[in-house]
Amino acid sequence: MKESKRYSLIIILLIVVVAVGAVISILMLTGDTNEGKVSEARPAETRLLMSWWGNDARHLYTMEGVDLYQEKTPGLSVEYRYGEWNGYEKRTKVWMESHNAADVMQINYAWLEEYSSDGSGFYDLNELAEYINLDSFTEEEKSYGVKNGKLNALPIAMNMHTFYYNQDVLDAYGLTVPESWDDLFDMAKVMKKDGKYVIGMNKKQLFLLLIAYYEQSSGKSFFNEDGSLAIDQKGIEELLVFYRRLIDEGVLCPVDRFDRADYMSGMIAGTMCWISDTKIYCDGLAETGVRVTRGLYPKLEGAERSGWYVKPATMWAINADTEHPEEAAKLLNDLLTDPDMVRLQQTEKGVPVSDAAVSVLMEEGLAETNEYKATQEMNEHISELSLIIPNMENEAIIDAFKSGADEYLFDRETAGNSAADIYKAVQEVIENE
Amino acid sequence: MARNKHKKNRSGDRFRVFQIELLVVFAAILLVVTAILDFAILGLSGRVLKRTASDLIAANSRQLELNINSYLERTETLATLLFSDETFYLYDETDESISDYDKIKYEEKIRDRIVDIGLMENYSDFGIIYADDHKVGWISHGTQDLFPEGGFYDAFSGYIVNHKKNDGWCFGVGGNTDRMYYVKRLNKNAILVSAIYTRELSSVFIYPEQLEGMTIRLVNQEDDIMFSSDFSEIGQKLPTEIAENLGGGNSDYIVNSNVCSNDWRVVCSVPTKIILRENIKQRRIALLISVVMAGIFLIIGLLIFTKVSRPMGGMVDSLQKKAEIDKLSGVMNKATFEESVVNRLADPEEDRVHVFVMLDVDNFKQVNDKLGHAYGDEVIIREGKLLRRLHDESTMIGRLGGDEFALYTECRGMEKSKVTNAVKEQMDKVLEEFLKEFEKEHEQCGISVSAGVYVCDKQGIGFQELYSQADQALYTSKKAGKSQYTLKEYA
Repeated sequence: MKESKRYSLIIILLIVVVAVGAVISILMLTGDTNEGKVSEARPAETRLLMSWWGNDARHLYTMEGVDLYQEKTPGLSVEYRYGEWNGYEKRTKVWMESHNAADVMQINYAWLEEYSSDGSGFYDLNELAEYINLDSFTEEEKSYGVKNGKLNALPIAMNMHTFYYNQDVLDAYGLTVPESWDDLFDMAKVMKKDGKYVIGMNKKQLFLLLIAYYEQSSGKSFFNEDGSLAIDQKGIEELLVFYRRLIDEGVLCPVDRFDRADYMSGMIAGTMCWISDTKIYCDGLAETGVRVTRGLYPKLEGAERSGWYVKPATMWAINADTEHPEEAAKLLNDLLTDPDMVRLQQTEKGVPVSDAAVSVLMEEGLAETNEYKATQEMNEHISELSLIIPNMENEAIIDAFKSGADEYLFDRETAGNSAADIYKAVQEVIENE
Repeated sequence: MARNKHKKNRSGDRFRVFQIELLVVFAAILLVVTAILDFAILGLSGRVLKRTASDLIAANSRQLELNINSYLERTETLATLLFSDETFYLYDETDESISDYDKIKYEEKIRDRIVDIGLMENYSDFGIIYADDHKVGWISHGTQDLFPEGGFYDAFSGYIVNHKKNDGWCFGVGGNTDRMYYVKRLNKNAILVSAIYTRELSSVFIYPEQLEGMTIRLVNQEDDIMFSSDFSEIGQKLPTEIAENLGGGNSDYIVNSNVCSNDWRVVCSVPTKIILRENIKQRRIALLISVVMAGIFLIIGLLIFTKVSRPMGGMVDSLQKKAEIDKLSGVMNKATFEESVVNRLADPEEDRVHVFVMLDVDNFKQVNDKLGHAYGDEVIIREGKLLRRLHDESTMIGRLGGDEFALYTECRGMEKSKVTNAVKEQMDKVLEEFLKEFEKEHEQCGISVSAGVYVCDKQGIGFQELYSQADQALYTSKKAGKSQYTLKEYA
């Protein structure tokens, strides 16, 4: 009897073992077959194209951030187009005019007017509101991207000029940070004997510097609100004379000879740049052990206009022709508000305007950055500042001005003739737009 | 006799064990044979899989080599576009005979050309560096920062190693690993420097087949990794285990390497274990299936054993039982009764009271004489039935011969006096029931039953003693007038 029970028990045990084994076998055979696949065809993906301009740092962190986003978004493939600012407007023109622009584009504030004066040049982001955290922007911030009632772009940061000086150079000459135009000339008197310049900058910054001087000295605006020229030939002539004086007296390094390396080495004491370029001109220099001091906007005593302008640093927009508006909107939202992306970007484009981005960066010491301090100063003077007129950044206008000015600077033309040439060339650019 | 019986039981058990052992051995053989066959087949398929994967990697590697060649050639071709106009390639910024104004105009023209050439390209750098380190075009801050003390021109000139084409590719310039440079001499005092981010090669190293676990690398002649699908490797040396197996595969990696147009190499590698993972998984499944099959075999075997072997055993038992049972009365025959009682007595249990009863039919001869032997047999049959009815399973009943029956039972955990009382009651009942059963025969032939009972709590008592004592008590009953029982107790 006992023996019989033992056999029954053994059989039951064996049945259980076999049944468990069979179940495991079936599960293993019918389990996740993908796991076992050695190779498989690349799955179909939604392909997005995005474009931006910028410097090394921006290229690298943007690619890294977008790669991260792709990891978080299976089935999405993002390809890039990027390059330096110099020449980038031409690229954009080719893309926009050929209807071959990227789905998600970093755009300049001026391009809203150039490519979307009626609001149809870019996608209306209000239509994609369910994918974009628009609450992170104030109405005023959003208004910078509105054209003809359509939200064409969202600003990444607000931007204006700032000055950075090599404090070690200033100390070497017993100088302090200049506050007025006269201060700049006084400093040059001391530094010129050593072949050093007070300031150096690229041609775009120079154009804006000269506009500021013109508006302060004349009390008039350079451009009208509609982008047409407000300045006359006489005004341009006076400006050319001032420009030449800046170079001749050693205040300004000629733009064609301006090299960041000379600024880094102390051959040029200061520079004017966008707040968003702080990393390049301030932090870069500070990293070499040099003390850097932020300068003030040069002023003319008694001037009625400040002549200084503010603008959205850069903006993100979506191609009006995109075939993937939802995916593009989600990517745009990631670029503006995703904590990973914000941490990678930091203040490279200036202090972000998106609340979501600011709250992330505040936890990481945003308040201590030079960009933040410069932005705070900008906000303190906001009542004196105007929103930039897009033609102030128009590359063709700037090139026309520089080309005409070179004729005068190199004594190939009189100031009057050069001014006439500039006036005519700029008018042509404006009329052709 | 009892010893023989024990021997028979032991041999029966051994036979059963042998049967089970046989089943287990067969199951084991089945398991081993199935496993060997499965492993042999899967081993073959593993080799085929490895060879196929190796071919696939080679094809991919070749495709990637073509991709990178195309990319490199495109960069080189775009650079040659600077030779479309003498202004672009003959301009020497260090030439002091050229006025500053002319320099500006030349450089503006060159700058425009650079913008046109690179209009649709993702360059990190594309510009001209002159012998005095003056730069025109896109020379990035990243590149500039590699030479804080200057010396761009000399450094990049040193990378021009192809003296026929006056160009060269380089990586790791100034410790930088995020881009690779192409340098081409334009004139004795000017070189073109273009650079692309190595990360950019992700789009070049796309291939139609995704081979899981494959790492794609682009390495230079010094085995520096310029690009890797595992970004963390960029800038490091090619791992030794990969470098040592270029063009082949050891047991750990399948490696394939293709040389590009500028002597860089595309190196693709996949850990063998990933390629064979499916095969290894199949081996596990095969092993499991073998075990399951062996288990099933064992179960079927045991079921057959239970259904066939046991019933056969039952038949044998039944035959044996028939030999042990007295055919007429249906109770044990004398030998079996004795053996059974002996076996029971052999139990080492001490706290028990033995009851042995001898029964004999009085005047049984009268039945044979008056009613015939057949009727006599009928009486024996009925007496056997009666005794079985009056006693439960624990009481052994045997026919010792003729009309003589014996009963044996034991009471555990009871005092002898109580047993004695119970036995008396039982014997009264037996006698009473006997007379009822054989009332007619009693009238016709005067039959009744006499019994001798021996109640004993002596430990270690033997059959003979019990039998002898009970028989003496029976004799006493017969002598005292029959149809009665005599109870003897062990004092």
